[in-house]
Parts: sequence; C-alpha cells; structure tokens
Amino acid sequence: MNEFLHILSQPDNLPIAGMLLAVLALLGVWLRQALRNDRLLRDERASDIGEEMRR
Amino acid sequence: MTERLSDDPNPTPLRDTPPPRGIWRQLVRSIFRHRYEDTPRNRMLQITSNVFLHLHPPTVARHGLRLRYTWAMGGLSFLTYLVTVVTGVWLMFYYRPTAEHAYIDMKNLEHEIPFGMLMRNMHRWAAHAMVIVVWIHMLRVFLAGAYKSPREFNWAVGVVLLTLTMLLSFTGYLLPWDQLARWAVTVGTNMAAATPFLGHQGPGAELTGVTDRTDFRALLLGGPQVGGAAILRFYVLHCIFLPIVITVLMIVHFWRVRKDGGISGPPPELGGVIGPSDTTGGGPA
Repeated sequence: MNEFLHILSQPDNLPIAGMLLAVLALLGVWLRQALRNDRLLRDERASDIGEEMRR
Repeated sequence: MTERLSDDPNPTPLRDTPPPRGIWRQLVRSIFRHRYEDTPRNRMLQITSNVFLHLHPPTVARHGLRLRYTWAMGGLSFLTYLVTVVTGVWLMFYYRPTAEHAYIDMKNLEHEIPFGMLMRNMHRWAAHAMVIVVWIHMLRVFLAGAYKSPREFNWAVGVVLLTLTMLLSFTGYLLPWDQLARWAVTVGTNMAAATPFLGHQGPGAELTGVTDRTDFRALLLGGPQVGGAAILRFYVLHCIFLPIVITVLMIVHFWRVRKDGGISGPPPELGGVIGPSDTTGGGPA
C-alpha cells in the first residue's frame, strides 16, 4: 500500500490520481441527484423532477 | 481615369465624391448593424449577425445554466483546448523536433527563454486538465442520458473527440525527449505492435504478413524503435494533423448541440419545460 501511495504521489501521476478522485466525487453528486429523482417518482411527483433539476 | 458608379449619364468621378456625412457613424454601423435597445428583437439580431456571438444560442434552457447540472465541463474542455493551442503555438517558436535538439530546446525553454517555464507549464497542465475535464464531461453527458435520441450522432462525435484528446496527450508526451518520454512512448507503441492484424506481435499477423518494419508500430515510429523519425512524426501529428481534425470535429460538435435543442434536460412528462418560459434571453430560439 505504501508503494502504491508513493507511486500515486509522484508529480507525473498526480493528474491521473486527481482525475480518479474527481470522477468518484462527481459520480457521488449525480447519484445523490438520481436518488432524489427516484424519491420524487416513488412519491408520484414525477412532474417535479424538472423543477428539482433547475434549482 | 475615372470609374463609373452606375449607369448615370453624368457620373461623378470617385476622387471628387465628397465623403458622406457622419462617415464614422457609417463605419461603426457597418460593423455593429443594430441598435442597443434591450428588446427581444435586438438581442436576437446581435447574436445572429455576429459570427463570434453566433456561437452562443439566442436562448438557453434554464437547467443548462445550472452548474450542478452541467458542471461546466463542456465549456472547460474548450477553454483548456484554447489554452493548449495558444501556449503550444508559442512553444513551437522555440522547439526543434529532432533527436539532436529537442531535449536541449526543452531545457532552454525552462531556464533561458523569458516566460518559457510559465508557458511550458501552462501547456502541460492545461493538457492534463483537458484530459480530465473531457472525461468528466463524457461522464456527465452519459449520466444525463444525452446519448439518446436526438443526440446519438453528437454522442458519437464526442467519443471521437475524447479519443483524439487522448491521442493529442500521447503524441505530446514524447516531445520533451527525456527518459520518461522515450520509455513511455516505447511502452505505448509496443502495444501497437500487438494490434490484431496490424501489429507483428498481434493475432492474425501471419495472415497479413506484417513484420516489425512494416506494421502499425513501425508506421507510428518511422522505424523499429523510438528515434529521430518518431519524434518528427509525433510532432507533426501533435501540432498539425490532430489539432486540425479535432478543431473540425469540435465545430461539428458545437453546431450539433445547437441543432439538437441545446443541452439535454428532463422530458416534459418529468417536468421539463420546452419553450420561452424555460429559457433566458427572451428571444425565440
């Protein structure tokens, strides 16, 4: 694990490591949005999804 | 010698023609062809009669302006591309793509040329950023379902643009001509040697008869290993061929975004609103 972190923190590898973290973080943001949309569908408020995404 | 302006039987010679009244006004009006009153008509005219403003649509869907919906990744991709183009052209003035000069020129850029370090690092980090934001842009588009009708064609164009971005990154990697560049490209092009049918180590090579001197890897490198021919080929690919192709495809990409109705959003049955009440800018699309 230490060797992996050592390789990951090399200057030339920082961009790709940053990209992996950014993709994971943004995937989380969109999954939260998807859960909110699913909750609206479950509550039979499908027509509110557009408004929810415009907030 | 005078020139006839029309079929007037008594033409006025050009040199005797008095300048029209308010020539500066006429000059300005020839460039800015409409007034500035804030009306829906003028807003649309300003957009449609100017080639640069015409890149933007006269109306934009409200959800398309939400940062948490778009992440602004399409615009950031274009911005990072512009930064790499401007800094890349600047670097071309100081860089010679030969095995003899490439590394020295790169070092001179870092330590001798005014602003060389700044421009080289701007180019490098903008290139890294471009790869990252293009991938995240693709992720956002996929999660928003923007690959569905009517945007299938633009999705395919976007996938090609993503591939070209990776190729730009790969071809630029060799140009510093240091150990990291040479061995990274050696590894990368060795994968090309294993391409089915086209690489001499790949499956089907015996059918096509390719050798280490005639396969896809040799085409990329201009020889059996990374050398002077390779750096020139990668330079031409990086600075001329790939930028031209990616620019043309970006124009198509942006144009299709407009023609497909702007940024995708929820359909009307899910509360998506299509029309002036869902747009900013006031004028018709």
